[in-house]
Amino acid sequence: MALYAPEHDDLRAAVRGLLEKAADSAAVRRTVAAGGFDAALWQRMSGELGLAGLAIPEEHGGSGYGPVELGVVLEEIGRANLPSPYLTTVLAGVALSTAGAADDLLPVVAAGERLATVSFGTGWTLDGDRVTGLVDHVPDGTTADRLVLVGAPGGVVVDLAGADRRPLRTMDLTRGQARITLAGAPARPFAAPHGWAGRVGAVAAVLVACEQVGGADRVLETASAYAGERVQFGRPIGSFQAVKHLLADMLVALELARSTQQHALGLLAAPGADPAAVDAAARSARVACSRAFVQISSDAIRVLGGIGYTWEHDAHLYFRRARASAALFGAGDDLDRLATHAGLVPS
Amino acid sequence: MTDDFRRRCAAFFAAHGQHPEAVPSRSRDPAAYVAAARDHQRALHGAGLAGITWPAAYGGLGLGPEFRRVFDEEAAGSETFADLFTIGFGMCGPVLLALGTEEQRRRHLPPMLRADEVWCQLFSEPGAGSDLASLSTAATPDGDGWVVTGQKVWTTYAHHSDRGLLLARTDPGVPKHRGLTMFVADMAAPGITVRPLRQATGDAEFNEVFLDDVRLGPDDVVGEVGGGWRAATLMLANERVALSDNPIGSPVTLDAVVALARRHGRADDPVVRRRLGEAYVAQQEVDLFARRIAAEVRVGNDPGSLASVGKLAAARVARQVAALALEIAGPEAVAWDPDDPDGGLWAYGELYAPSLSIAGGTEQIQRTILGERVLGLPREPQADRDVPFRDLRRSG
Ligand SMILES: Cc1cc2nc3c(=O)[nH]c(=O)nc-3n(C[C@H](O)[C@H](O)[C@H](O)COP(=O)(O)OP(=O)(O)OC[C@H]3O[C@@H](n4cnc5c(N)ncnc54)[C@H](O)[C@@H]3O)c2cc1C
Repeated sequence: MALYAPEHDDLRAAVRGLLEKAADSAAVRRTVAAGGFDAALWQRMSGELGLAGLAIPEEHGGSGYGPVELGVVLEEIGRANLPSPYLTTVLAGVALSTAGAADDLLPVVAAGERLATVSFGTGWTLDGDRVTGLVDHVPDGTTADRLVLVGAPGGVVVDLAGADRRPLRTMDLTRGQARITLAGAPARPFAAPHGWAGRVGAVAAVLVACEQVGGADRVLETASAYAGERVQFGRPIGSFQAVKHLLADMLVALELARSTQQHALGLLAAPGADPAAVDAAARSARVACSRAFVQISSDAIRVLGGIGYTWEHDAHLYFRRARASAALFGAGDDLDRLATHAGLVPS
Repeated sequence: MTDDFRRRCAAFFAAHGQHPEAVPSRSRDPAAYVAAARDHQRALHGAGLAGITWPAAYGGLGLGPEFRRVFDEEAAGSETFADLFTIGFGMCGPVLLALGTEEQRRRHLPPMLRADEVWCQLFSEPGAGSDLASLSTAATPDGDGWVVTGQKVWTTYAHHSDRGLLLARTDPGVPKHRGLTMFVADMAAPGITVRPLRQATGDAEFNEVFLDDVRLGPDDVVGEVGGGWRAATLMLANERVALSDNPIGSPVTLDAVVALARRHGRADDPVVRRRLGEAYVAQQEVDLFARRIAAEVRVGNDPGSLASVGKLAAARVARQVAALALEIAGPEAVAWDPDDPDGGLWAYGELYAPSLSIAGGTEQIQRTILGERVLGLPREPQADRDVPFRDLRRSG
C-alpha cells in the first residue's frame, strides 16, 4: 500500500503554501535574530490549519491522524528551516496520548495554546508528585510550557512555569535548548503501557528524520539550481563533472535516506507492527537521514563556493540544524543497537 | 488479496526451496549450477509462479508488483538463481514487452519463463564501453535481412545462453546515436563464436562473442530500424533497476559477516559493532530503495533515471560488507586451508565486489545520469554528438 494518498498531497501543499508566504528566508532570519519562534505563524499553523492537533485523538480535541501526517508537516518545516515548537509539541502530544495520560492537557496542546516538549534524559527522580534533578539539552526547553519526562514504567508531566531553565548557546540557531534544574518541582506522574518509552523514542527518531529529509531536499534544490546558473570558464559549473558528481552523490544520500524514512513511517502507522522491527526501522531512519542532511548541507557549501560560506547565505543555517538535529533525543547508541538488530547480540 | 498467492509461494518454497549453501557453487561447478538453475525455474513455472508481473498472454501471471513483493518475501533465505536469469527476466523480457512485436513476444517470452531459453546482452565491445553508442559491430542490409560482423565483449553468460539482444550499427553515415538497431540473435546461429574470459575472481562468467557474417531476418529487429538507441536505453534503465536489488551474486552477506564476528569472539568489540551497524543501515537503504522503486515501476515502463541511485548504493554496500568481513577475519581471509571448501569465501567476495561498480554502467556514468536527468544539470559539451559515425575518433 502506498504511504501517501491524495489527502497527503493536499496537506503538503497547504503547509508549503503557508510557509512559502509567511516563512521565507527573510522571515526566518527575523525570527532567528529575535530568538524563539514566530507566534503569529504558530497561531495560523495550529488555528487555521489545525496542525498542532493532527495526531491527537478526536475525543481530546485533535483530528486523530498519525505519524504519517506529522511527517508531511515536519518535512515542510524542515524545508523552510523554520524555528518552530512543532516537533517537540506534537511529540509530547504523541507521548501523552499513547499513554492515555493528561487528558486535560491534550485539548489545549491540540489547539496550539500550550507548548510542550519531551526529554528522554534520566537524571531525575520522582518523590510522590515532586520531581528533582537535572534535565539537560531539552529542545525548545526555553519556550515550552510543559515538559514530558519519558521514563519507565511511566512518565511525568512537569509544569515549567517558574522552573529554573538556563538557555544554552546552540550551534543550531533555529532551535533553542535549555538546561532545566528541577528542585522538588510539582509534577504529575502517569502510568504507561509496556513498551511505551521505546515507542515514543521511535516516533521521536522518525519525526526528526522527516524534518531532516525536508531540509536536505531544499538544500539540494538550492545547490543544483546554483550549479545550473553560475558560470565559470565559460560554462555553468554544474556541467563540470566534479561538481555534477558531487551533487549526484548528494542525491543518492537523500533518496536512500528518504526510503528509510518512508519505511519507518509506514511501520509506525501499521497497527500491531513488531516493536523490535519498529525500533530497527526508526533508528536506521535516524542514522540515514541525519547523515544525509549533514552530508548534503555541508557539501552544498562547497558547491556554492564563497557565497555559501557567508553569514548572509542560508547554507550555514541548514548545516547547523543538520548537525544539531542529529544529536537530538538520545541518538548516540543507534549504531550499537542496530548491530544487535543485525544479529550480533552482545554477550 | 495476496493471501492465497502467499500460501502458494510458501508451499513451493517448502517443497522446492534450496538453501543457497546447498546449491552447486557457481564458481566451482558452473555447469551443475546452471542445470540446477534451469530445473528450479522449470519447477517455478510448473507451480504457476513464473512471470508474476508479465501478461498472461505471454505465459505470465498478469499480477501487480505487490505480488512480486510477496513472492520475494516468501523466497527469502532460498536460492533464487538470479545470476542466471536477471538478464532475461529483468532486462530482455521488459524490452520485448515494451518494444517487441506481438509475434516476438509470443515466440520468445514463454520459453524464457520456462528456462528453455536463457538470454544474454550483446552490447559492449572492445572499443565501446561507457560510450556504448560508439559501437562498431555492423549489420549490413542483405536481401530482406541483415548480415552482422563484429565483436562483443564482457557478455555475461553468453556461453550458457540460447538468445541475446544485440545492438549493432545499421547506418554509419549518421551521428552515432541514430544509426543503431536492436536485434534478437540466436546464439546457435552460424558465424557466432563464444569464448569465455576469465575474471579477476578466477571464474569465467563473461565472454568474448565474435560475429562473422551472421544472418538475421527482418523479424529479428526489435523496435525500429535506426531506433536501437531508444531500445538500448530502455534496457539499460531496466538493468539499473535489476542491479539495484540486492547486490547480485555477491556471496558475502551481512548475515555471513555476523556469524563470522561471532565465531571470532568479536560480538562485544565496539569497533566491529559500529561498523556492522553502519553496514546494516547501508543494506537497509539498498533494500528499501529497491522496494520503493519496484513499487513505482510497471513492467516495460522506463523505470526512470532514479534507479541509478540503487545501482550505486548496491555496489557500495557490497564493497562495504566484503571489506568488513576481511577486517574481522584478518589473516584467515587471505590464506586458508586447502581442505576448507569455504575458506576462500571472504577473498572471493572482496574480489567480486568491484565488478558491481563497472557492470551495467560505471559509477561515473551513473552519477552523470543522475546529475543530468534527475537534477537537470547542464550537459557536458560533447564533441561528437552531431558528427557522422564514420568520421568519429575512436579507440581500439
Ligand atoms: C562483470 C561484468 C559483467 C558485464 N556484463 C556485460 C554484459 O552481459 N553485456 C554487455 O554488453 N556488457 C557487459 N559488461 C560491460 C560493462 O557494461 C562495461 O564494462 C562498462 O560499461 C564500462 O565499459 P568499459 O569496460 O569499456 O570501460 P570504459 O568505458 O573504458 O571506462 C574506463 C573508466 O573510464 C571512465 N569513464 C569513461 N567514460 C567516462 C565519462 N564520460 N566520464 C567519466 N568517466 C568516464 C569509467 O567510469 C571507468 O572508470 C560487463 C562488465 C563487467 C565488469
